[in-house]
Amino acid sequence: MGNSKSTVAVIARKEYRDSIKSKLFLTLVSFLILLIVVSIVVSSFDFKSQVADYRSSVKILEDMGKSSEIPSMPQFFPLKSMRGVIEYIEIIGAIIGIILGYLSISREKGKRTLQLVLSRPIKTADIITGKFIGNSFLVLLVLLAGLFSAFFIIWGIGGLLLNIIEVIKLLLVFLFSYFYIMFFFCLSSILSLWFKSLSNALIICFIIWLIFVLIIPQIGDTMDPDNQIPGGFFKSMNIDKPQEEEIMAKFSTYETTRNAIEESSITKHYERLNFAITGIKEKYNGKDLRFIFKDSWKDLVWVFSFLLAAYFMEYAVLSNKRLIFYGD
Amino acid sequence: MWKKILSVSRNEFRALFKEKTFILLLIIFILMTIFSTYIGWSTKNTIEKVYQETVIKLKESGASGIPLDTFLIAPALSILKNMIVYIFLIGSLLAIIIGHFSFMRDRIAGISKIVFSRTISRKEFITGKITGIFNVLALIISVSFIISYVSIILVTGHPLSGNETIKLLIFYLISLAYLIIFAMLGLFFAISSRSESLALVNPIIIWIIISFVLPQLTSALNPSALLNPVSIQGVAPHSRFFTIIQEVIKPFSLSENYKELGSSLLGVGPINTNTLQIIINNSAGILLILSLIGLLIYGSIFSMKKFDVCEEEVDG
Repeated sequence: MGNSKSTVAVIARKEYRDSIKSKLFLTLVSFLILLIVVSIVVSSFDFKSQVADYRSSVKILEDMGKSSEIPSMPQFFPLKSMRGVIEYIEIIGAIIGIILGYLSISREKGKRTLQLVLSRPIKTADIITGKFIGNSFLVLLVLLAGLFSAFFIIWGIGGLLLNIIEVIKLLLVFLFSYFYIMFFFCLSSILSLWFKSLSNALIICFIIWLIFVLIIPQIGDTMDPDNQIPGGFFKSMNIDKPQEEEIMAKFSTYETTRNAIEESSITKHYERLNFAITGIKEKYNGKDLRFIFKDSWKDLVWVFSFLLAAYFMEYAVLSNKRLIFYGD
Repeated sequence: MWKKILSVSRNEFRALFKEKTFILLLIIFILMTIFSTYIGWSTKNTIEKVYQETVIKLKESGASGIPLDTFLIAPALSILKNMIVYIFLIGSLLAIIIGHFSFMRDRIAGISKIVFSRTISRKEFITGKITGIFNVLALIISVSFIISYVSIILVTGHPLSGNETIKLLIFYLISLAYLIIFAMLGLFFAISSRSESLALVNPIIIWIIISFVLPQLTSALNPSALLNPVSIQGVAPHSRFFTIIQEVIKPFSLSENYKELGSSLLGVGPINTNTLQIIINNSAGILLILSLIGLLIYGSIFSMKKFDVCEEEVDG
């Protein structure tokens, strides 16, 4: 057992050192951090502009003597400004996972060290766990950098210091982001192990990424009847939420199909889960975690199941010595 | 000279259709072209019925001033609205891969080291590659055009008018130009990058900047909203900050210019029946697309001139 632990630690340390030196990884990480910063800065400035516009409207109304017509001031929910961040993690975070998985296997394949390691008395599970842990450190480091950036930008530009509940929610978002990114890490490792040509493995992985991350959510979104008019169909018809639900109940087959399409993607589960936690989905805004998880636990189970399935699949592929040694 | 260029171009065309990953992505693109019409048609039918149900509900509650049914008068081409998104998502990624494979295949096989020992210049070689890429993309777009044309007739039950056919044709020509930009981007990085994976990831990063980052800066729309042709239509800067940024960045935002032009041609959003007027209104966007094609072709030829034919094996 002691040996197994030290083997895992050695592999994890090696993985960490190798990946952190990779130009490709560093390029992607810098890009993601930049996008996180841009995204929150944009929404913070957007809010500041809205407040400035509101104040000038109030002044005009007051000068006109119409104080009774002053609308309520726009409210800033700091976690809601995380929407862009969550969506960028969906896209770029997944690519970071793919590149880490690809690099992890391509290095070994290129130097033929994988065959060498497998010919030694090292368990397949130790190799997989070592690689997983080493890359987990990197992903967590990247996400931590993102978390700090988000926290300080919301504080610095938005002028709001997150309370303890909001910090916990932010930490949960980053924990689920870690699950999500590591799924793509495992997927990319599987394909890089499976395919003889690493270039083909990377392209197939990008195709799967395209389907999961962009195409499936896009189909679900554009099929939504409420999205057929800018600003929302039901809003344009002055229909409230209960009436909308009553109408849509008559289109249950269509809605079930649309929902099934969306649910086949890990990205959609990840998005639903984090949109609930951050209150981007209005129903959960300002609610406690118990209320949120009462509805969202299924999405959490889905995200975790995708990761677990990919992890065990990677183990199964690496256990197939014939595939690793002869590439067929 | 032209004989050599044509020979490289023909070889490029054949080699691409032997790549399994290219074929896979091509199949996805063709399938999405077929599904695009079906999704558009199914959504249009459903929203029609939802509208009728909503009207009944409003009448029951005694509401007056019920908004008109705008879905009924939507142009036939509007059911293809998802094609705008599929071209800018799948098509452009497919184009990057075509451009990437085009030169990377030769670098990995070591052909780029020996080919210039024959009587072919670098300019002839790269011109042949670019011509081959153009031909492949033109074929894909032609197939996509035919599928859209036939499927829309099958779904709506009546043929497209001359004006609608011209609009659809122009939409696909603009789409071809849009895809050429990304193919040239893939080719440029395949020539100039030292590592195979960086040569693939760099154009994908640029694709993300073009597709998501620039539009977010000009409209504050988040990435997922940018994948819905209807939300794109509804964008209007809602603060001074975005009005200023939009004025500065939008003329250079490639994907937004393409999506606006595509939406106008397919009749998503405000309906404009005058095709020439649409072209004139979007002339700046067309100019941007053409300028980028020129710039990237020049960049590819320039990097080919600088390419080190004595390089050691390309890194992974």
